[in-house]
Amino acid sequence: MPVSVKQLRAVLAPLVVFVVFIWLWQTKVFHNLFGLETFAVPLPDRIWRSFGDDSSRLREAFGETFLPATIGYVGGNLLGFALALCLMALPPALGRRGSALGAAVAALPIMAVAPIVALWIESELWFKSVTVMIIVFPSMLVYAYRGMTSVDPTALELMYSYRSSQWQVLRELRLPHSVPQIFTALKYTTVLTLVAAVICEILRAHNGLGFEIHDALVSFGTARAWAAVVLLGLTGIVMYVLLLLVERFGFPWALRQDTP
Amino acid sequence: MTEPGYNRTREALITAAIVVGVLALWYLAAGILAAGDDPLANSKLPYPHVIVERFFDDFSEVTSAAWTSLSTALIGFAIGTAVGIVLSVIMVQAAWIESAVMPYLLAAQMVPMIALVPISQTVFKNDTATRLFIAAFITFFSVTVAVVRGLKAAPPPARELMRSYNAGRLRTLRYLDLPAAMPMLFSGLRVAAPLSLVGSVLVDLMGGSQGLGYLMLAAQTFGPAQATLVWVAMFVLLALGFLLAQAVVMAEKVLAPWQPAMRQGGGH
Amino acid sequence: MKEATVQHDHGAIATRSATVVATGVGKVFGSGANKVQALDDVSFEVPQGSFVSILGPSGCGKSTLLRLIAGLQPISSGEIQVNDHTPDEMRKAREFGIVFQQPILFDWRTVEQNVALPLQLIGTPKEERKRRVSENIELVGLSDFRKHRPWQLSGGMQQRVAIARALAFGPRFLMMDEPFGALDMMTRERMQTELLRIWASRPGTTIVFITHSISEAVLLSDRIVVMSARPGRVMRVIDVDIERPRTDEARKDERFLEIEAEIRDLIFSQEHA
Repeated sequence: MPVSVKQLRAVLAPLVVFVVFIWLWQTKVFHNLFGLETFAVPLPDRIWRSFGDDSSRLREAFGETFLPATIGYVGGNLLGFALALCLMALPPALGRRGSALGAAVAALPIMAVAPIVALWIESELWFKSVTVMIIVFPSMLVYAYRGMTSVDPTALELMYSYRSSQWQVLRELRLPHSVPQIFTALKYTTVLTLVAAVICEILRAHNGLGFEIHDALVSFGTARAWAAVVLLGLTGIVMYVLLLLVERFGFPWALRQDTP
Repeated sequence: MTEPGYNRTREALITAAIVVGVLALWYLAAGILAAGDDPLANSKLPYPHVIVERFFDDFSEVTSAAWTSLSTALIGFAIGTAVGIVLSVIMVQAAWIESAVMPYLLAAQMVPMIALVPISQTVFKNDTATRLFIAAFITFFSVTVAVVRGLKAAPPPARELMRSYNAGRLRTLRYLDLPAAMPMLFSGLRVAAPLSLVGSVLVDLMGGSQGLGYLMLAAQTFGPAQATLVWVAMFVLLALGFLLAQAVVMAEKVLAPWQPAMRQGGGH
Repeated sequence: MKEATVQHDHGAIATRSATVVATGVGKVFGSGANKVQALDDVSFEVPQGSFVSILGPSGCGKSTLLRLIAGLQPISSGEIQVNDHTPDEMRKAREFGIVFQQPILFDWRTVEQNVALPLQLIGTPKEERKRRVSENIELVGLSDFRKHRPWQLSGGMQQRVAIARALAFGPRFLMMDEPFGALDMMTRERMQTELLRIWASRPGTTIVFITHSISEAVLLSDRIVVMSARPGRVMRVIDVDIERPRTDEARKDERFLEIEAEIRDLIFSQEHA
């Protein structure tokens, strides 16, 4: 099948932008334009080399960030989903309020949560994990509850006309119906997870990529700091794309256009 | 929905009950904690009135910190919004610009931007500039992505209608696409508003000497005695975030009141 | 394709000068293996000041045909002339009004402002604009709703606003693409008589009306272009010789039922062929 102009453009145009951007950066055009120094904004080849030179440090820091991030992400989403199920068991008037409370918690800025958790938990790993969990769970709670309650009333009537139990209604109707919302929450919380982890590491820094950025900057290793930032960005993108693939191939019927 | 007045009173009562309940639980938990032998009880969960007292004790310090955070966040927010709108209008003019830039804007949504704070601090060497930059930068991304989507939200028949009037690009933009993009613009602003505040505060954590983040660090730097200040800063930040979000909602009600979610008065 | 233009010799419309002349019009979408012939060798005439319906099943390309006449899509073969101009020239000169199946009203504008939209676009002075807007809103019977928002109106009322908007700058040529297709049966019949009244108040206005309802076409039209599907071809052109002004009573007219039956037979014979 011939490749259309549209497909070609979708691949080539971003690629050209990338190459030109890196080239302008490498040839110091940006530096001259904005009066930047190379020790503040290192050239791309320096950052690239830093991945090799500092690979053991970066790998260690990545692990120190990734483990609590994963614990918090998985734990927070499970907790949120479990709480949504609990709300489903309550009468709707109470469930709605519970969900509204969840939305209020979701509005808490990470910046306000992390320092309080820092007062409570000494362990570096659990400080990060718990903060991430607190940031993640309310979003999942709100989205999952919305997904399970927003089913078509006619479909509910149909289920009840079969004399289905509440459990059957949940399994056959509410859960499948909430899949798109659940994926929206899963995708939305990936970036929250990384943001929370990095804020924790900056707030009370002992290890991890967030600390690495800070540490590299004070020891004049700006290239290492930039490498750490690139690593964080790639992690976010990879996590998101993985979820997208799971959704695409695991639940093809649930795919909707309005991905955030 | 038959008696809205009655319903509203009931809602208010229930909300009040929840607030009172949470406060009571807080006192209970703080009491239990204080009765134990944890020497850090006072900082882990101080009594609410202690936090309020502390707020008034350090009133001028707290308000000036809050002002630093809020003003820089707001200015950055405004800059980011303006740049975002302009860029998205340019982007939708030509398919190749859009396909060249859009993947990066989308990817940026998945990247923890705040990791850029330390880096931009070494670049700008100025706290205020960094605060502005981060707030604007974060806002810019969510606004641009949202507005690009919004500018394409108008249904094809509406575009056909404009074509039947022989309306050119500029007029179609002014009469159709820009108004149609308003709801998406505001959904972008709603996301960006609290983030711009967080971005500004984060700069304080990285060595800034003003702002709410600086107060939060006080506990780490000066020991548990300052811990109530962390709680004060947290509640002020919470209030500012809430105010900012409300301001966006109010602006939306004034500027885009036609949306389904805001409609009052039924059909015929 | 058979040249099946049955000219019933009724009334004067055949002698008036033609506004729209379509000659051998063809439209092809896509290319190569995905090529679809939407319209093939379509010819008909719309005399000035007449009401002509294009009637056919879904997929016969009648909406495409309207878009060709309106200059919204390019013609693949053949020719369309509107008052001796190409459709595109007519569109650029803003010589016609158009009403789609969906009312396409802008939610951020009131009824009044929606009707004013085309006037604003052509830069009509404010006083003149005001006058025309209220005149046309009155014509469609919505004077009490001028400050309402579109979503506060029923489907029928929304479509009336769309008609008022199409008439706003006083075009002599109106195109309607299944304007009542999304309405319920009763509203639909009311809107049909309403449209006849509005048309009668604007003498000399030519209307090209797309529909898949046989009775709608018979009630409204002077002439009906009956089309078949895949590719869209003209099966027959039928002139409707029912006296005007027509009211709801016309639906019971003997001639009405005859023509309706004729068209129905025509379409059915095609389907079973």
